[in-house]
Amino acid sequence: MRTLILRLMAEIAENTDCSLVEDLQDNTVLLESGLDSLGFAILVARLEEELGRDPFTETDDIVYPRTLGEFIAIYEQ
Amino acid sequence: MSSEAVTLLGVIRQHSERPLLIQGDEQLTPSALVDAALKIRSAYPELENAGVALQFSDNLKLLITLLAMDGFAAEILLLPPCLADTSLEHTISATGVSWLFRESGPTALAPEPAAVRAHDATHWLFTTSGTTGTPKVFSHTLSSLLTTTRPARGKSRESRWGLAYQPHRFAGIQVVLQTLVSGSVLVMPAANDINSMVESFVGNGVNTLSATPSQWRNFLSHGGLDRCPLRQITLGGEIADQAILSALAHQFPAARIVHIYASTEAGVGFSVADGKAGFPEAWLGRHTALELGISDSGSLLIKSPAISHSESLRPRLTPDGFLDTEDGVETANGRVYFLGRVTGIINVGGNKVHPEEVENVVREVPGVRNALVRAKNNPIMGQLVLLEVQADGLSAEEAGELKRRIRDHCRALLPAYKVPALITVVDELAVSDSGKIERKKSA
Repeated sequence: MRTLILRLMAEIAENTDCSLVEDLQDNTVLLESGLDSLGFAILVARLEEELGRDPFTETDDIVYPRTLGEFIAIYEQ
Repeated sequence: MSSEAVTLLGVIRQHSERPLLIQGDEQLTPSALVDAALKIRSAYPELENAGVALQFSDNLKLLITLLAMDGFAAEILLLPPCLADTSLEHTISATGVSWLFRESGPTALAPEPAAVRAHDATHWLFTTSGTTGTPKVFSHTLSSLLTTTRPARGKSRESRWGLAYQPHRFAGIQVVLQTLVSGSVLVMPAANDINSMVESFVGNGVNTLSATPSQWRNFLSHGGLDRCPLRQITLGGEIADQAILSALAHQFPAARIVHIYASTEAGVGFSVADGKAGFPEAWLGRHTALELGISDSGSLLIKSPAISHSESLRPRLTPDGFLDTEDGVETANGRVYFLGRVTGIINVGGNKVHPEEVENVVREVPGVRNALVRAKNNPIMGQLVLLEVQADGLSAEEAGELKRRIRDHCRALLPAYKVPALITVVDELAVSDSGKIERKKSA
């Protein structure tokens, strides 16, 4: 899952004229990762294409992730 | 110009001396604002009774110039700072204003500016982009704009508002007017990025904030606003889903959370404060000063004396005087839920996208036989632009190459939110009986 998310992040960054920070860690703050909020919106949509699910719409009781680790954890649930 | 009309300067003069606008280190009191506005009027007497477009990147300078022009110019047009070239020309010619006022001062748009136009009150012009690139113009006056502004309540003077919208936008103007009329403090970030906003809101103790659901998701993910003593949270400009309403209630338990439905063109709207998405079905019929209904085709109907009387709205009025908002709705479990625009307009984080505009750009790419753009619902930005292109018998590799060329072409010609976020290459697009490509509902 981590590999897929990082691969898509790199692809989206290239497609949207963003550049990712070099050393992405679990504690990297999402909004400081190099992708903007439009980029993350595209990431969620691309993950839905790849995985057939969007965990953000599966429940009304969601927490918006702050770090990359929290984002990945939502998909690993 | 009639002296009886309500003007922003008249409103501000009634407030007692204390900071009204804060931006960075600058704190402006009512008298400082009045002085600055009168200085602009006396420097440019030629703008009296003229049509004036305002284009500023500095929010504070824009607001002071706005104060000067309301009750002075015949017409005010607020332009986005980034508008340039043909879009700027189109907008200016659609509205017929004769001056362009920027940070450097006003310039006449024609050798001899158009004849003086006399109105009782200054007309505020707003534009929305049309499918053909010709903007539609909607006209309001300060009085008609104020009918959608909530009357000042007892505590409103203790409110400290943050400005998360850009003030040239309709939602931004609503916040600006709300604070100027009630005499509350308005905190304006020096820049529009999230870090500047959070820093300025936290540093100035903002307790009242209005933003789009997409901005709120961003604020929650950022986390810095936890240090703001928020007691009033407003969501507008996009459909508020249950997830963001619940997440905000969890993060800010002391805050009253309200989502707003507003029709920019009509200049009317209403707010919902029960923490649930949509609005109660019981409101259909008469709700406060509005009458609400649902059309046969499933769009929300509004009737109100405050509806803008612009020519361009006439085709959307029903025989009994309701305006078709063109916002699709459905009822379920005693609630009315918003579905998005019935016209296919896509709302990406509060920015509107006409599918036809994007389709036209995509069709310019060699190898594209046809293109269909529609909305893809998204939990982060509300909606994204989804593109299906028709191309013949491509290998996977060729399809990938075509997508890349489409993306590059769109990025060169369109702002980022209009560039298709998802692209699918198909052999055939569904065509309706009338021979048009079928514009299905959002995916």
